[in-house]
Amino acid sequence: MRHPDNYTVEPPRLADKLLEWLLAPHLLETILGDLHEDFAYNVKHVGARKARWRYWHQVLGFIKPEYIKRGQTPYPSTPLILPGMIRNTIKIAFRGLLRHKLYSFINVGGLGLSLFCCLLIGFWVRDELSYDKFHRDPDRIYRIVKDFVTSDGSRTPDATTPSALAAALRKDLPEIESVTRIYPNWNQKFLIRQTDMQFYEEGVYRVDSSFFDVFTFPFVSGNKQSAFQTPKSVVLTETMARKYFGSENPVGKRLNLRIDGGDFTVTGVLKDVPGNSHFHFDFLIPLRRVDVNPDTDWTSHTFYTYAKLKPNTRAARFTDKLRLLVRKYQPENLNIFYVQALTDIHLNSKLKWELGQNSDRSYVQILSFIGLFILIIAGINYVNLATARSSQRAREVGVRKVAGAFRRSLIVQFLGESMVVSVLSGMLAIGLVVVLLPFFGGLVGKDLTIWNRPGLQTCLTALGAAMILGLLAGIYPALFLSSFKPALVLKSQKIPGTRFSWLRQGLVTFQICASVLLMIGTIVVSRQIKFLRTTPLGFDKEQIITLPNVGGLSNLDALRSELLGLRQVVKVGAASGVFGASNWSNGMTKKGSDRAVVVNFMVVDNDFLQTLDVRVRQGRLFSARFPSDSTASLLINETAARQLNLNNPLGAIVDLDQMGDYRTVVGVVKDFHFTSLHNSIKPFAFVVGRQNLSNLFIKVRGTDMKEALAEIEKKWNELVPQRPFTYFFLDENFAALHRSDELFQRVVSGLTVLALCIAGLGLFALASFTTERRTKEIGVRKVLGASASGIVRLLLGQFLKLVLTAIVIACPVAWYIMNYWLQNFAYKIEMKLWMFLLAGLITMLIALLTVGFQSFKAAWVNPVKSLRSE
Amino acid sequence: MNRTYLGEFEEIVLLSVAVMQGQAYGVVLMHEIIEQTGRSVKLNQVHSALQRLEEKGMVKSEVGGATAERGGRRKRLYTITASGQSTLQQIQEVRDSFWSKLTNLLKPGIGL
Repeated sequence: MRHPDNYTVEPPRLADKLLEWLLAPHLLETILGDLHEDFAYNVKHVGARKARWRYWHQVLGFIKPEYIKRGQTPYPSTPLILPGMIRNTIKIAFRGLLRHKLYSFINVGGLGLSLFCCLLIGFWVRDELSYDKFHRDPDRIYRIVKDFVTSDGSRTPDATTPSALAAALRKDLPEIESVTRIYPNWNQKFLIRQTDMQFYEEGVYRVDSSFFDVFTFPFVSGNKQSAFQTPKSVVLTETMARKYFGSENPVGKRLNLRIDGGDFTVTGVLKDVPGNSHFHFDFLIPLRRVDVNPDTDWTSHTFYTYAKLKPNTRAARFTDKLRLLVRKYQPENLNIFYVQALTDIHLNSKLKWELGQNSDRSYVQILSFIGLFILIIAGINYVNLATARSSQRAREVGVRKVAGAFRRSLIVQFLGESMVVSVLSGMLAIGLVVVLLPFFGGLVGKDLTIWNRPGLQTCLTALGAAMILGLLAGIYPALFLSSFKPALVLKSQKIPGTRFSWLRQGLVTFQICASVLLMIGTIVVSRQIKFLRTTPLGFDKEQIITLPNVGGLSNLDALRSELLGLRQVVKVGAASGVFGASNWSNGMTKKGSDRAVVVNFMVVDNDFLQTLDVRVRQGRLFSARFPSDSTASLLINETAARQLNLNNPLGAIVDLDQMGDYRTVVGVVKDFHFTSLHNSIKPFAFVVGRQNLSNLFIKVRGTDMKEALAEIEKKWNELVPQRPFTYFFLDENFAALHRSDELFQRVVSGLTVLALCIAGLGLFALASFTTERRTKEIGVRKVLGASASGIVRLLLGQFLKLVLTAIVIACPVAWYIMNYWLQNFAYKIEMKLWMFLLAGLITMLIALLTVGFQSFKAAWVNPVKSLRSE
Repeated sequence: MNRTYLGEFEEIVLLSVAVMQGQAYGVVLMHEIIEQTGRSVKLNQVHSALQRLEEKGMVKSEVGGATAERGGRRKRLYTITASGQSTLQQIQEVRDSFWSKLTNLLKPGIGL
């Protein structure tokens, strides 16, 4: 041979790589072969260097579409989705589920439970977001509100407006399509009479006739044109129509409202106000005032103004014009007016004098986050279990591949399985919701149903979400399981995925992290709610029965003395308002100063403060011994003294209404919480009076409330037969202020427990799979002399490491989030170290219980058993 | 006439396949054509001509015969089909008939 090294000369690697990458597989072999043969020939005849050069030349000639385009395979192609295969996949999936009951239970149950939680949250969130959207063109409706500004510049956001504003708006601003005023009952109770029945009603609103132009409340009978044609018209809701008129059509009938001269004519019946409206009424009567013309009165801020703007009106521009308008009519007015979108009121508005208790956006956000967390936790369970189970599936994958399955079809199979699991759990969740939604609705005080369009939509969305979740959770296991090499898994004992992969570790850590986060959240929320419940308010609200309808009673004194004569009654007092529910407020000034401070106040009798045990700090309480108290004395709280700038409050003279109603401060009472603990304590004052005493507070002794109530009712019926007996307990009334907080606490704790269960189940199953796969290892270790405790330590160690990491990560995040939530409260707890420690400890305990159980079981198995199985 | 037309290069490739009697594959065809015609021919041209011929049903192929210099890769061996042969024949006949006329024209006239 002339060139003994001709075989050792290789054609350029890079060129081959290029072709292998580019060329169609069915052409590659012959072309590369030909090229190599030519190269060998060239090496022989022209030398290696030139041969290489020619090789490249030849190779580049093949870079053409006709060689790159993939040809048809000689085998019949299998479509990815084939009815028969799908049926087979579903069948195999069900068989798998039935064979591994624990696994299926944890997967379907966990996923179903989490979807159930998410569905409930979804229903709730959807309802919260739907507030006031049922009106026509809700995005064009605005409420006009103001910042109440006093002469010292302090601002109080306030929902009320003077009645003249609406008239001025209608007259002067072309942007207004329609505008209406609402004058709510302001805690007045209306005694409504019908033949042989009478009830106290609170939901009586006085409105303009344009009310129905702004809002959309459909009529059952009557229409908006004829609704308020006379000043004695009343429109009521379906429920009220049934209550007072039974099944008859009430239109045209008379109804006695005991105001404005009694008899009203029913002109229309409305469908009940939907639950997702920020205000609720039962009766509507025309707005009119006896004393002044409402269209010119700028002084009394007791009206709500709602306006529907013409299309394409920008709210900001409108606000500017609104302020100019107020300036024009009221140059002295310091108040700053602005508008709120109607649909924003429920979640974003926290003004003084709201028409009802609004919710908070943070609740929606926090609950949505929790829902997402729970879904992720269940999804992680699926991924973890599916991959941890790989040893069981490996043989199946191997056999399928040997029998000719492509990777593609295996991926479809595994995705199909996860879809089966997710659809099953979706159906489980929907089934649970169908059964439990009414209870949940009752718990959160909402009327929720799935049997309407939004309800069914929510369910369908959940099913869709379940399928997407199934797909997402299925992708990794599908890719992982289908990647097994048949020769490897069928021949050797080495099964991929045996080790605790970083991905699974990460997922477990995240899961535990989320659980710890939820737990710390629950602890903080619960402590805060407990704090709200147990913080001394500064007065005694226990064992006080309140009779709210004594206003204008001529024999109030007789009633009072009769009640005092009862054995159970300790003390009786009367006041114009109720702590936690209503009181008046006025701009008051120190005599000689023109700096007005908004002070809440109540008209009380001499005994009220003793009845509620409001403590005095300086001076004295009101007393019958000082007859001048009823005309010239004033009691204030500490905050009022501070804000009115009274260094020496006793004897100071305060102007109650900035119009010359001067009274002398005779005492300072200790600060007390007269409203929810969301708000800081505001200035408060008491004056003595006989007018306007509309609530009677009865302090009773003993524990038998029922008996006391019966006695009181008896006396009432004797003395006030013309009015029905109504009462409430002051402490319950006060607790209602924190009802939405307590609700939130209950919902969050419930969800947390569920999330913990789901995560715990997942951890349990994961531990059982990993220890099961290490059976042989444990056997060998034991044979070689490892102790049982050592093995438990080994097995536990890997999980505990993750738990610790998760706790360390979760704590700061939890601190941040809960700090944000606590900002909602003026009076709040401190977050203490023990809360974090407790959450960590509970997590640790759950991990120990779930993983520990498995570890002990594995560590005590006789090695003979575990090693013989081969 | 409804036979398939062949390009000039295709015809040459087809002829070489016929000549090599079952031993024809890419690289040897290239060498053969270079040798016979003296043109510079690239392997990709030969391969694409072979592909076209196979699509037209003039040649058929099978794989086999790996050698060490090919790195163990198999050859794609081409043989001419009956239709290929008849096509070649027809081409030849058409040419012959033209040539026969042309030879008559080019012949020096023989006066009778």
